[in-house]
Amino acid sequence: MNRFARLLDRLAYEPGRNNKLRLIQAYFREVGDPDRGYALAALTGALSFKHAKAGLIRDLIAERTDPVLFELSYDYVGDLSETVALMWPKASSALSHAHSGMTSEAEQPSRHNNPPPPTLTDVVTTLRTLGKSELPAQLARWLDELDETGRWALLKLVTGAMRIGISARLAKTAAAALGHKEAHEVELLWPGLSPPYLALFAWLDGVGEKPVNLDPAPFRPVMLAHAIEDADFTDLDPVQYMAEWKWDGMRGAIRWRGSIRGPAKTSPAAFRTCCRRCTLRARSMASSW
Amino acid sequence: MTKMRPQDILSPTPAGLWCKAGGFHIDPVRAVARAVITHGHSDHARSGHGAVLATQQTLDIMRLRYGEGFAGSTQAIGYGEEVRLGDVAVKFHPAGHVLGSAQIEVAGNGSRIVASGDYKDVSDPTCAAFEVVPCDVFITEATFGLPVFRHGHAADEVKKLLDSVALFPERAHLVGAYSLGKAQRVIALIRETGYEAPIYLHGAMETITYYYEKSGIALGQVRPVSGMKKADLAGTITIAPPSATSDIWTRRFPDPVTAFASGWMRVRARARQRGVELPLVISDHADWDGLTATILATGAGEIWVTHGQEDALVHWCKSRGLAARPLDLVGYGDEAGNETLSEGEEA
Repeated sequence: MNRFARLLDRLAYEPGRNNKLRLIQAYFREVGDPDRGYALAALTGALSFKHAKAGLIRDLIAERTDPVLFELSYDYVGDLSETVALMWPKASSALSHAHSGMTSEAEQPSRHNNPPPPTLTDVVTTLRTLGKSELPAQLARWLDELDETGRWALLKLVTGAMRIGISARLAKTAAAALGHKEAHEVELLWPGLSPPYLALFAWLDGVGEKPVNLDPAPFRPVMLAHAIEDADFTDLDPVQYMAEWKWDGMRGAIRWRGSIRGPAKTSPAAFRTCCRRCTLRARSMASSW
Repeated sequence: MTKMRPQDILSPTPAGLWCKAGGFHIDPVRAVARAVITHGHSDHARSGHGAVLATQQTLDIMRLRYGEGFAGSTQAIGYGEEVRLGDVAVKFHPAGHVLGSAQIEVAGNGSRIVASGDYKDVSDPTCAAFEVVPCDVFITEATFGLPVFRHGHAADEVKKLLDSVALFPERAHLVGAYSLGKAQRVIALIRETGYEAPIYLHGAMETITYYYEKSGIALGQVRPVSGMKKADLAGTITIAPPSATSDIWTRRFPDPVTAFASGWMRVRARARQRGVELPLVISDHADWDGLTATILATGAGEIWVTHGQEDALVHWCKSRGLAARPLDLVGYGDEAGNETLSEGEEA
């Protein structure tokens, strides 16, 4: 988790796209399975677990810190996860101080008994099955074990708000580049894959076959539409083409897989509602022209 | 003679902490007749005093910065040495902040006050280690006086820098660091990892860095960056004043990565406001854990808190049953916002 946290930390400050790619690739190369797969899932928004609410985190810190000091700190930092990550009491930090020998015996923690900090895999797999009532105690244990950056990343992860300026596409591009592949190839496989993407990384590392998408109606990204300029007509034979209005922002792909219509996880009813909304919106736009 | 009350020994005045019984000010912000100076940062060491008492290094640093005539007369004092000034005895102890930095112990008729100036209680290869001085009243700074400021290990931050240099060998790394203390500490920390390549210096870093070397602090190969070809700076580390790292000056470097070594980098909003890509949490001040551990270790029953986040630290002292009050001194550690200050944000 601490290594993943360092990646998030660096990405959060890095403005350049290519530099972000380099940082993510270096992480994928350096970190083994299944951690890197869960990292890819976290960066692409593919993790699903019940998120912790801000209130829970406030309660945890309230039990451990002076309320006046918390309020002064929160005011100064301006972000709840970050404030809690920074001021979470950590007994062993007193050890780094030259005269810690002066502090009382009771305050001297024994470092040897500290469990190792959780890995990203530990966190993700535990959260998937953890009951709501067990979450506060588990979260507190992890916060005890992680460093400042690790605690910040953990809180970002469990509250479901990463906000580090990384698109899913960028994370897939970085993964693809591991095996010198185009992001497009990963996109085509993506709907058939799930975390921690062992087969995908094996293929990208050159030690496994390319994963096969067994979906009878495999995903195809919607085609990009470009405006036709007058000059283009010199090379186009209108007889060979069919013209169609492009409704901005309203393209959709309808897939037919056996008897089920629509995207795999959408119920037929929800799908019908979605189509109806799109049509209505298209009509209203058309009539306003 | 009755026991002197602490406020009879030292009291805050517009010019700085005033010792009536000894006839001197500590770190005065205006020109005064007699000044006792903790360390060479410009918000503590100003020019134009009649007489200055400080460590030899602090006097040397003031001379380098302000020129020969920076004070009417000077007197050097070593760590552990004591001089009698008026009715009080003044003794210097290492503060661990920068080269030559000292805490000043003032004792008068049964009362002992320690003015710590700026201090840090973690190891630093470029200056003498902080010493706890038992006292009745401890005057502490509070630059990082909020429990969110915990600086961690400086070595981990330097590793972050070197990992970045390894990952981006075609880019130059610019490390913003204050010219007195921080710059030399960062260089020394980099050397501790076994990094042997030359480290380049912005012009503003040269004088003090060479003074550190002359004082026997090994910094490896340090060179001026001026005159270097752009392409030759790929994969190198250059230390510069923080203001220069967001300046047109950076155009001489290939696709520079902007780092900043400061305790302020602990808070993300601070790093972002300054456009820092690689924040390095390396501070020359004690962090929250250091401030609170030091206060307890001095055994002082009364704590005077100055420059920084006084409120939180005063609150903490009171919650521990210690008498505490903010010393409303002005002119130190002028807050972060001012980018043009060379020393104001020493951290």
